[in-house]
Amino acid sequence: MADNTQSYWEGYKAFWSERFSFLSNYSRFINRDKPIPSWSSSDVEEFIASDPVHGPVLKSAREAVQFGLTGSALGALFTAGYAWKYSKSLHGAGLSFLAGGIFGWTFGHEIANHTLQLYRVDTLAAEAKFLDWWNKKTGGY
Amino acid sequence: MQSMSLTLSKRLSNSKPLFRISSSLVAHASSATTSPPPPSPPVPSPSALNSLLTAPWSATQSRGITLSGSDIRVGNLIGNRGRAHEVLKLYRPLEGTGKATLEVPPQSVAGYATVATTEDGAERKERNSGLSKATKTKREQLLKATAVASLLLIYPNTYSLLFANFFVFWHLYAGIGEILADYVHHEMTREFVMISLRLFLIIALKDVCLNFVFV
Repeated sequence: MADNTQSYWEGYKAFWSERFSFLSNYSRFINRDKPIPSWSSSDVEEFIASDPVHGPVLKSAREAVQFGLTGSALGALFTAGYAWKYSKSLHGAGLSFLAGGIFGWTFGHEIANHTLQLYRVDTLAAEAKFLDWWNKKTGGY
Repeated sequence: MQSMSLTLSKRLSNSKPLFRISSSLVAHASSATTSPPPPSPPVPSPSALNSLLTAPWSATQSRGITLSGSDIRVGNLIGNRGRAHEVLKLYRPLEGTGKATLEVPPQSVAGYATVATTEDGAERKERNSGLSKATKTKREQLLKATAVASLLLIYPNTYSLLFANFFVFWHLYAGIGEILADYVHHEMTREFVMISLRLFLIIALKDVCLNFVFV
């Protein structure tokens, strides 16, 4: 019975550690003595051009951000305008602006997810690969 | 035009219930306290002058209200010197003049009669507040479902993740919906936000499923 209980808890911890494994993707770029130097859009474009596997994935991920921003702007303005039109309540319009922005970002990102087929690729791995490439390029350890 | 007299119901033991001074004005002995309505409709006294001389103090205690008979129904609220009274019973004598009895329940808020039950069975419909039984039962169901969701996580597999995910987002949706029902009073605005919230939570549910089940 003790062996069964021990193996159960070991399996339990392994299961949940596997679920949250995505938290360790950035750990080697965050837990450092010296931070990574800043990069710019031209550096990202250079990586996209040089890497044939992760470059297009990162390009799609950056395009998805534009979808999210557009959806957030439309959602925030439309929801706040709708609430203000009927209630003339300042705090109500403010809360509607925030909620509309969050909902709009999610809807926009969902449209991008289907338009750019992000569900087929691993955008998180592409971002981690870019950080690794930039770290080596700037002479980091 | 038929006229009707509305009086506060209070009869003293040593005084007659009502007596008539003129064909449209009815005086009576009254006080501010409450009492049950009289068991039978009061009848006018044949000699008004004699009653007035017998009890001259009753004229200054008069609180009668004269209104049109066709305007009064059981359940109406009538304002009398800053106080609201509810019509509990109507008397329509054959001679053409009607009378109604008003009562203010002792536990009611001053100036407003909230709930009164008449013998006709006409009850005012209470507002369905959040403390009623139906809403409480719905909330208990949600809490039980969420408790089941937390128990499911003891068994780490795909099915427990799916069910726990569904129950937690259902609880989120119902909780935020209840907050919006209390504070957003315009129905179209509330429906707009509720539909947006439902779509948002469905997408979040899908994303959590993908990240936890297909890790």
